[in-house]
Amino acid sequence: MTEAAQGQDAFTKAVAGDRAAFAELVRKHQAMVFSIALHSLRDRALAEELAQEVFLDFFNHLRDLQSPAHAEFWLRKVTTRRCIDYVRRRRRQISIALDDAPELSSPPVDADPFLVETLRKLTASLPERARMVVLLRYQEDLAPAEIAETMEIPLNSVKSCLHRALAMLREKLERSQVRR
Amino acid sequence: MSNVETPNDFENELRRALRRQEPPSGFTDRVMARISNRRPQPIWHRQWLAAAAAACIAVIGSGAWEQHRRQVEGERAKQELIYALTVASESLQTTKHILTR
Repeated sequence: MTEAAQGQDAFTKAVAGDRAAFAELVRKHQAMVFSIALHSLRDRALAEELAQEVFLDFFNHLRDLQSPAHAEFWLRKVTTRRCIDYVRRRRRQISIALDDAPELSSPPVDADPFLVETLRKLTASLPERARMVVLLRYQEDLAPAEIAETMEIPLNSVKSCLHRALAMLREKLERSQVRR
Repeated sequence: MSNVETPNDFENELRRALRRQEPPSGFTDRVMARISNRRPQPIWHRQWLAAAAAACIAVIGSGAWEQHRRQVEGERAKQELIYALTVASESLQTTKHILTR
């Protein structure tokens, strides 16, 4: 059975009420949901809590979804929206000074650990909408049109937001490397 | 100076930094446990709510109908009284006219 067919099979069974099939869907999408939350909130416990809430919501809405692709789109959209809402609600509490922010995990072996951690912190320091656009572009590898659809904002807004965010990140990175 | 030389390098570094990460182990089990521990709303509870809503509508509806009925009856009684007074007044006028002639 191909991966797509397996995905369709698990989705169909999960919609019919099969808990094991639903667990399979969770396993399939958990890295995506958790990573969006983690890179956005920079707190592993909060990210896990938010990810769990998203999957509980997913369980309740499963019957409204038409296909595995629709399920993936729904999960990404709901996670994105919840992260933005969370950051807006608790802006003060989670505005961590960059130097105080904890390291999320060990960087990939083929990367400069300082650069990876700095880029993660700088991304998390962007305004919430810009942060989410950058995450969807570079973590999820979505095209600007897909980001616009996920975030329900105009395509031109995505493009300008991305452009500004990248310029901001480059400038902050240069400054942080000069300080180093 | 930055070791990220070109726009493409920069974007590749971002991709690398923002790579997906797996949640802590046991994540799926914890999600499934939360789903199992949810208390579904019992059917009787939903039926009770529907019955209560129907009863409220019935009480409010009958109250409104009763008020309307009383208003109509009151209006009719008023019209009858006015008619009776008009007839009595006309009779008195006629009597007065006969007596003064």
